[in-house]
Amino acid sequence: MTPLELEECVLLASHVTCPKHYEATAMLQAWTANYETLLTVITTTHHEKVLFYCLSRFRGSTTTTTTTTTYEQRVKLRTFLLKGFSSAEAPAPPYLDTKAAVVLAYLIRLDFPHFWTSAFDELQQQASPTMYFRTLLALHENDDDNSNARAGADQLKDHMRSVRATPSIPAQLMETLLAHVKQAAQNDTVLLILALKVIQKFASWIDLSLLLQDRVITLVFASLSSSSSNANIGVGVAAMTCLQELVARGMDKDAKVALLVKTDLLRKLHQSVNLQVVDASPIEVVIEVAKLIDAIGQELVPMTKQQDITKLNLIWPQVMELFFHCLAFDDIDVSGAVIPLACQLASRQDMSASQQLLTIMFRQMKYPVNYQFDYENDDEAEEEVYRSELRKLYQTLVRASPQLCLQFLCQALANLPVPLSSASISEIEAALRLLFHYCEGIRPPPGLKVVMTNDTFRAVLVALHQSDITDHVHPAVLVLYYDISVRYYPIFVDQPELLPQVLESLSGKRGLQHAYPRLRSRSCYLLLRLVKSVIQVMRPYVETAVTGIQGEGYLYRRYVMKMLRVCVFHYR
Amino acid sequence: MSNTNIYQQLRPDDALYLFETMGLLLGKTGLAPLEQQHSLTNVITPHIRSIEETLRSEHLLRDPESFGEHLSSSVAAIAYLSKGFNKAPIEVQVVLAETVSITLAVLEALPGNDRVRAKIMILLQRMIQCIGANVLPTMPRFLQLLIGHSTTQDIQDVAQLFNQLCIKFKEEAISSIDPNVLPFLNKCHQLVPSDDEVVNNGDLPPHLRTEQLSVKKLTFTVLQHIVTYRVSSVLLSPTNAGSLEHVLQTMSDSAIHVDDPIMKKACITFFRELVDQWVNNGSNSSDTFSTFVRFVLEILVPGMVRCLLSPSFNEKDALQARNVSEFANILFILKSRQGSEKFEQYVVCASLASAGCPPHVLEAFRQASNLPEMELCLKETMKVLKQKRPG
Repeated sequence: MTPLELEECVLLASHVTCPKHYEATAMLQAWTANYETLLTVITTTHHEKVLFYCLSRFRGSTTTTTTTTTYEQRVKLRTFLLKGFSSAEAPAPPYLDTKAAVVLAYLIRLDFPHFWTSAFDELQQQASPTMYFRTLLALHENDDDNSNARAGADQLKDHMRSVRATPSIPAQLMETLLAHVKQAAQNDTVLLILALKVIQKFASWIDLSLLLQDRVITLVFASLSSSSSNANIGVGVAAMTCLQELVARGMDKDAKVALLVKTDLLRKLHQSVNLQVVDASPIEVVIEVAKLIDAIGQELVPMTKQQDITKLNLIWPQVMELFFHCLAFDDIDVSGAVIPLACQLASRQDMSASQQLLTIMFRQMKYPVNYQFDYENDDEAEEEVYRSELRKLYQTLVRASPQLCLQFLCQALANLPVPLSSASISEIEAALRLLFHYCEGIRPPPGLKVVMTNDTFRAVLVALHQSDITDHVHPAVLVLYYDISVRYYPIFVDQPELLPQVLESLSGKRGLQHAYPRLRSRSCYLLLRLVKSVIQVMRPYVETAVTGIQGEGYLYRRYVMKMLRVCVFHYR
Repeated sequence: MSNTNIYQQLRPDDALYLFETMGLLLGKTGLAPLEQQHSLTNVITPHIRSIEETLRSEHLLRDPESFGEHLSSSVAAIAYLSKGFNKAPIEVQVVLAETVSITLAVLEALPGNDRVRAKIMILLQRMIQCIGANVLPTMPRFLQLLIGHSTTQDIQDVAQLFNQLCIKFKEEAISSIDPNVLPFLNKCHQLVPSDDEVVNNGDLPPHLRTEQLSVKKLTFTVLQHIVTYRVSSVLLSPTNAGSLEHVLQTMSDSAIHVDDPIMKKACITFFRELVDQWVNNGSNSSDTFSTFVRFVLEILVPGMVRCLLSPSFNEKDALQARNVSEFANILFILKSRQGSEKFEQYVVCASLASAGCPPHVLEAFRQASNLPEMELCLKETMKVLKQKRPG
C-alpha cells in the first residue's frame, strides 16, 4: 500500500456510513504494517484520524519490548513528535497528544540509554509542556501490567537514576516540571492535573528529597486549596493522590513520622480542606482526604504502643482530630473511608477514644430522615453497606470494652422519649440496633450465653418487652424488635409472663396481618423461630396460637381458592 | 378482588412457616395424644377437603400448572405440619397416615408437575419419620410414579427417598424397593447425557460430563445403600435377578475404571457388603451365589489389582486409602470363607503373581490371617511394583 492509499483507506474506514467502509476496514486489517509507509503518512498527513491510526500501528502491541523498526526510522519519528507534532499556535487535541506521548515513551524505552542518551534532555527542551507530562506518564503506564512490562519499567527507572549527570535526570525532570507549572496560565487545570499526576508517579521511586522540596509541597497544597471551586475538583483529587502516594511510600516508620512533621502535612491538610461543613469542599476531595487519614493512622497506630513516642506526640493529636472529623462527616463515603482506622483504635481499649467512637458511631448509625427502607434501591443499598461497616466497628468496641458499651446502650435507650412508640424512627432504630448487635462482640462465644447472665442487660430486655414498642407505627422498628425478641429468647424462658405481648403482636395486625408485606413475611419466620426456641413454655398458648394461625392459613386458602375460581371461569 | 384483605395475604412459602409453627405447638408442648389427634385433625381436614375438591374439578387437566400450584401447596402444608412430630403417638400417626393416600391421589392426577412431585417427596420423607412402616404399603406406587416422571432436576430426590427407605426400614423396605430398582436404574441411564453429544474433537462438554457423573453417582449410592442396609435380596428377586449380572458388571467396571475416589468407594463397598452377605463358608448351595463368587474372583479381583497398580491410582490420597482398605476386606473375606486353595488359585496366582508381585509379598498374602495384615500386603504390593517402574 502506498502512503496515499493508506491515508485514503483510513479515511474511508473511519466513516461508518461510507459505502466502502467495510472494504477499507478489511484491507487495513489484512495489511502488514510497513514502517516506511507509516512514517511517511505520519509526517505528511493533515488528518487527525489518519495520524492517530498510523501512530497506533507504529506502536503495535503495548506489551512488546522488541521491534522490527530500524533506528533511523525511530529517529525520524521521534524528531517529528518532539518538534513537528504540535505547536502553541496549533495544539493537538488531547487524545492525539496522548497517543503521541505513548509512542514517544515507547521510543524512549527502546533506545534509552544505549542508543539515545539525550532522550530526556531533548524531551525537556523540545517537547511542549503537555507532551512532556504525558510522555512521563506514559513511561509509567506499564507499572501495573504484566511482570515483563513491569521489569522493563523498573529497568528504565534504574537507568534514569544511574546515568551520571548533575543534576540527576529525575532532578532535571522535576525542575522542568516546576518550570512548566510556573509558566502555565493560572486557569490551566489540565496542565496542573498532568503535573500532579507526574509527581504522583514519581513519588514511589525518585529521591525523597526531590519530592520534599518546598516548591513541590507548596504546589500540591496550593492545588488542594484551589479545589474549593467545582471547576478545580480534578486538581484537588490529583493533589490528594500525590499525597497518598507519598505517604504510602515504603520507608521506616520513624522516617515516615519525620516526613509528616517536616512537611507539616496534617496541619496544611486541615487548612486546605473543610472537614466539618458538608459541601464546603468538594466531596471528591474530602473522600480522598479521609482515605489518606485512614492510611496514615493505620501506619501510626502500632507506634502508639511503643514507649518512645516523642515524635509521634507532635502529630498524633492532629491525626486524631482529622480522623474524628472524617468519621463524623455527614457522607457515608467519607465516614466509611476511616472505619478501618476506627476499628484499630477501638481494639486498643482506650476508654476516652472508645467513648468518642461510640458517640460518633451512634450518631452515624441513624438513618437519614428520607430513608425509605427500600431494599431494592441502589442508593439505600450503599447506606446498608456503610451500616454493616459501622456494625463491625461496634462489635470491635464491644469486644474491647463491653462494660462501656453496655453503659452506652443503656444511656441511648434511656434518652429515648417515653412512650417508646412516639420515638422518631432514626432514634429508636439506632438504639435498638445497639441492643440487637451487642452480643455479637461479647467474648467468649457464644455471646448470647454470656449476656443473658448480665443483670443489667436482662433488665434492659425486660423494660423493652414491658414497653409499648409494639405500638410503633414504623415496620422497620417492629421487625427489629421481633428480631431482638428471637435473638434474646432466654428471657422468655426465665420470665414467661413477658411472652403474651410479643406473641399477640407477632400474630396480629402488628405482625402477620400487617399491611407491609415484608413485615408479614418476616413475622411468619420469626414467629416460628421464637416458638421453636421457647417451646417449653408455650403450652398455655397452644389453643390461642393455633386458632390464630389457622385463621391466617384459612385466609390464605380462601385467597388461593378464589384465584382458582377465576381460572375456572376463564376456561368456561 | 377489590377487597384489600386479599392483598394482605401471605406468600405460600411464608405460610409454610406458620404450618410448621402449628406442628410444633401441637407436637412439642406436651399435649395428650388424643388432644394432638383432635387438633391435628381440625388443622389438616380443610387441606384434605381442599385437595379433594380440586381433584374433582373437571378443569384440572386443562391448567395443570395452576392447579398443581395449589395442590402442591396443600401437600407442603401437611408436610410442614408434621415437622412437630418426630416420634408421633399412634393417635397422631392415624391422622397422618390418612394424608398419604390423598397425596397419592394427587400424584396420580398430576405426576408430570415438577412442583407436585417435589412437595410429595418432602411429604414422604416426613411420613417415613412420623408414621414409620405405615408408609410402606403405598411406597411402591409412589416410587413408580416418581421415577417414571422424574427429570435430571429431581432424580436426586428420588434417590434420597430410596436411600432413606433402606436406612430406616432395612429388610422391611424390600417390598417397596423391589419393583422399582430396575426402573430407577433405567431412568438414570436415560437421564445420563450420551457420549454422542459431542463438540470439538469428540470430547463431552465439561458441564455434561459433570452431569453424567452426578447421575451415575446416584445409581452407585442407591445400590450401595441397598446392600449396606441388608436389602440385598431385592437383587435376587424374580423381578430383578435377570439383571443381576448387568448390575454386577456395571458396578465392577466403575470400581475398576472410575477415577473419582468417592464413586469408586461406593462401588467397592457394594461388593464388600455383598461378599460379606453372600459368600459363605465352604461351597454355596445356590447357583446364583456361586456365579457371584466366580464373578468376584475372575472379574473384580484381577481388575482391582490392575487398578491399584496403575500409575493414576494414588494410594497416598486419603480417600483412595479407604478404597484399598475396602478391597483388602474383600480379599480377607474371600480367603477366610472360600479357603486357601481358592485364594491361592484366583488371587495369588491369577491376579497378584501375574501382575508381577514378588515372591515374598505373595507369601505374605498366603500368611495373612487378619484384615490389617491383608491391607499391609496390598500396600506392600503397590509400593514394590510401583517403585520398580522406570521413570
